[in-house]
Amino acid sequence: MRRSGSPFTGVGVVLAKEAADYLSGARMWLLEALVFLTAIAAAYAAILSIRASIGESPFLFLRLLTMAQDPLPSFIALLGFLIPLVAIAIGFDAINGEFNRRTLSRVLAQPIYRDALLLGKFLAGLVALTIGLFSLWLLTIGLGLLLLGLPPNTEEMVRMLGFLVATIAYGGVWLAVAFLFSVVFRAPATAALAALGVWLLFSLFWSVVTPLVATLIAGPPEGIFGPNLDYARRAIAGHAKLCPGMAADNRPHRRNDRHFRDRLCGFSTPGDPGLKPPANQKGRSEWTAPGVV
Amino acid sequence: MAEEAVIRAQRLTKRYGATVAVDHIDLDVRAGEIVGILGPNGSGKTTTILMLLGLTEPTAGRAEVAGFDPLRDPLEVKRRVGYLPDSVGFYDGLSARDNLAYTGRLAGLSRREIDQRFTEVLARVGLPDVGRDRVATFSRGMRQRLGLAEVLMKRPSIAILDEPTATLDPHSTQEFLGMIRGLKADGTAVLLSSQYVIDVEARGDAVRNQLAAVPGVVRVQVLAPEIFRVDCESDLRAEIARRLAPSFDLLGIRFAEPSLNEVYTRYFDEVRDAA
Repeated sequence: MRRSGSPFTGVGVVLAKEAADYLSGARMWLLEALVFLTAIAAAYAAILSIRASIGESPFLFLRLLTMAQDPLPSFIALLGFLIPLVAIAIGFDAINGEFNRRTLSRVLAQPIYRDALLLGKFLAGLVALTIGLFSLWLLTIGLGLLLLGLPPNTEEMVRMLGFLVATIAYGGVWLAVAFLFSVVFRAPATAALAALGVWLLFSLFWSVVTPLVATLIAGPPEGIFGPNLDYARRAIAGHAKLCPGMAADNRPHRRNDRHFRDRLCGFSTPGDPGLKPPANQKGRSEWTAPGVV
Repeated sequence: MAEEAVIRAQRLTKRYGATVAVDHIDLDVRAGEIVGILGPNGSGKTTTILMLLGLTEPTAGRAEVAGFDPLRDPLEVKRRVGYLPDSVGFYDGLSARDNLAYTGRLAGLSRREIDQRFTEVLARVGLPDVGRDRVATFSRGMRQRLGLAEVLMKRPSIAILDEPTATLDPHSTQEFLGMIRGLKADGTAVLLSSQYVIDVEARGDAVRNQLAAVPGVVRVQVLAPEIFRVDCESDLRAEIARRLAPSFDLLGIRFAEPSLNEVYTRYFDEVRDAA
């Protein structure tokens, strides 16, 4: 059944109230302070190492975002890690909090649809996130101008703007995840844990889990080089062309090198049945690497 | 000709799987009338209210509120209905004014209208001086009054109150019921739910009208469906029976000394009146 009235009625009122709540809340200030301190430290550390290499890269300002200085990770890696945390902290109790405070029925008894409440709250969270990230972006550029003594060129500014937009969108995705759990779970703690679980899965365990899943589905990786086998083949084949003398070197350790190279590159190795290349190159996973490489 | 019903429900039904929450309810409420939905916990009172507000879909049957179908035109319905949920909640960090301004803005009131109505409604519910105080400092009774103030802000043609006195002490309950009668005097149709006590003012009103002219009758209270308490300055059983007999089937009249509860309520009434 089609309902009358706009689903956006009241979105602006909800947005204004919620954005004011987010921006004046102690939770938001703490999170912003955490992100600011760590990100500014990372940017500052990057500037110190960039200063030594001024003139080497045409995109000096972009290196502000990507350059890591031990022990700090790069600015972009830090944001990639922290922004989901901020977004989850903003959104984990957005809806179930209203329910638990018993304000949800009061608000929904006003002439608005529940979509308007959800959208208004989400946009308010995004506004709060955007204000924080935009300030951080300006601070980083300012720090770069101050310490590098060079203005960013137009292309760099466009790229940095693109970075800002992508970062906000990234935060928006995690905010949406937190909102989803705040609708699904009535207890804010459960919603926060579920969202943090998803965040941990993607930020820490994803790189561990995916190769395992890939192995389960497609079998073990090929030889000791795994997925880089083709690269290794090309590299060794190139090396063989550059060092033709290697084929004549019959000392035991060089022989193993040669056998290994032949094996990878599909060269024939007469007289050594243990190292004979498979008839079908696609069956490489059955092949066992020589004992000494 | 009888006045047209502002709330009408016909065979309204709600099922959650195999559980029947509301089973073929018929309901008619006219303007200026107070009607109660009575029933124990879990009997479907709140579900009925939510269906009337368009916040949940009925499984069967239909409803019409202020001339609109809550399912098809929920916004129109909610513009005309003031709703006070049971255990009303507020944003504790905001002031009473900011809380009411928020829902007022959602209801489509301008800032000017909110400013104009705010002082008036707070005075009406007996909270004239707390507009700038944070709601976190409010007692439960004050929150309930603030909830009623929110209903009044909208100047609705229909007020739906879900167990409005469930969490109040006897004295506050009596005051709150007085405010609800005030809504009726404004011509607002009142639908209220209760798990006990208030047979809702419809029956009480009739008894009150019959006894209004009896000298010595101080107050008429509805204790439960078909059970009334009449506070008298002396034993007026004979006079009361004579007045009520033409309109009611009297099962009996019992005389009792006031209970502790009654003394408590009376005491605070007198203190307030003296103040």
